[in-house]
Amino acid sequence: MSKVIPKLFRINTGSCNGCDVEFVATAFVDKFQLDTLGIELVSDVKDANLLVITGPLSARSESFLKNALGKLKKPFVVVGIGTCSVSCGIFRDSYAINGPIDKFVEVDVNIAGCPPRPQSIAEGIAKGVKVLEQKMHGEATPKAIDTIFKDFSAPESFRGRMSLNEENCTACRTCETVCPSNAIEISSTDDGWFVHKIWHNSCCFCGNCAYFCPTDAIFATNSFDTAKLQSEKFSDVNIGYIDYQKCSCCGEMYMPPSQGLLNKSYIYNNVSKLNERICSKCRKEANFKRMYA
Amino acid sequence: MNIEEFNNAIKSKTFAGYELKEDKDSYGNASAWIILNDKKDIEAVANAVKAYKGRCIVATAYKNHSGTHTVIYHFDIEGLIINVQLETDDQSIVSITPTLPSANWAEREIREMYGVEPIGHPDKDRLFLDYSLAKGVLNEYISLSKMQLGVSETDILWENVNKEIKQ
Ligand code: SF4
Ligand code: SF4
Ligand code: SF4
Repeated sequence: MSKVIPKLFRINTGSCNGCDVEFVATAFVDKFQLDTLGIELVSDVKDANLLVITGPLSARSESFLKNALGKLKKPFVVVGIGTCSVSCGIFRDSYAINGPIDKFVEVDVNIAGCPPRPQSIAEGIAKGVKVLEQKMHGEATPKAIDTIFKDFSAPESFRGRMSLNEENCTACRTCETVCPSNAIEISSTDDGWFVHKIWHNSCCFCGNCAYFCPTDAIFATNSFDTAKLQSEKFSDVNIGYIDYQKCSCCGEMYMPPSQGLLNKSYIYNNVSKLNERICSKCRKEANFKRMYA
Repeated sequence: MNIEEFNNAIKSKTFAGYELKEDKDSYGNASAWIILNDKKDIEAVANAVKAYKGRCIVATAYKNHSGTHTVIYHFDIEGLIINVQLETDDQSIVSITPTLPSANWAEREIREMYGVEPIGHPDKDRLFLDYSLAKGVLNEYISLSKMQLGVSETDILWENVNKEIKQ
């Protein structure tokens, strides 16, 4: 089998430059091992077979992208860097945005993040090279590719993928309301559950949801494992189930307050016990009796 | 330049009269509030501002409960701020852009955001690029969260998400 030399060309389709800066860091810092993949950066799109795209595709940049796509060598691979390239992120539904890029080109790898960390950019490009090899040898694009780099953790204070602690969530919908990129959806099911979803490919890591959550149920991890194949685009979701409970006092189904909130409100142990697993109506009654009976 | 001088300059030029209030901010900067009895007198005020080499800083508008619109022009003459308020009940004002080109954008904004036509404005071009903004859009109530967050209005992408994930 002949050795494939990936020739990388980058195009910016209206990115804020955040992703571009991280990409440059990835390309230049040895630690991220891009050179070990044998990639060559080229200055003319005609020589490229690995197209890296940043940005949500502004109306103005659409013709530039189309032009570049027409000139690429075949077969080629497209890697999108940043949440903007995957779902348009915070720019979703703006009149000035024609993206996301997969409306115009078949994308192979998405690297979510706003911006993504160099580790995940390197991982995404490595996955892109794998797909390119497969395409060169006439094989079908795989459904999954093993992770090449292993460690995606960032320093403590960095906001990575969001996660949810189901125990603490009360389905209050605050996070859904304050999310600027429509990355959260809370829905109820017929049998009394609530489903809390965070779509990672839309999240811009702003941290609003965690800041406003009254019970600390939603929080940023420092994980940046964000490079995925296009086939995983819509399934990269954090799903949390928030259940109704049966009141141990009257037997009615009710939405339990989070343990975190109860602990804050009832600091004495015996009182907190009194409030466990009972609905708000019974809790009111029990507390009333405790105070006045 | 002071308020008295400006008052003298417009007194004989306006024909329906006005109310004048003086004010000072916490730094001691003087400003004047002029409430016109007839909206047409804005022309006389604009001429006076021009004679003193002043400019229009900005103009603001709002719709009243009764359905009329209030428009306020903010002028600057050598650091003196003159705010001129007028009311219109037929969604039109006299454009002062031919006299003071600095009012150009502000009047076009009022035309598109509140549907109040500046009659005699030399520029008919649309100011806001987004054609989905209906004429007079700010005459309606828009909730703060929508205004601030521009919450996404379509569910196309979420529909794909919900189709793909296994619940
Ligand atoms: S994903 Fe974030 S950092 Fe990257 S271009 Fe978009 S807004 Fe900028
Ligand atoms: S961090 Fe939270 S609020 Fe911000 S975009 Fe992501 S899910 Fe939405
Ligand atoms: S994560 Fe927090 S803000 Fe969001 S629904 Fe749950 S409790 Fe409310």
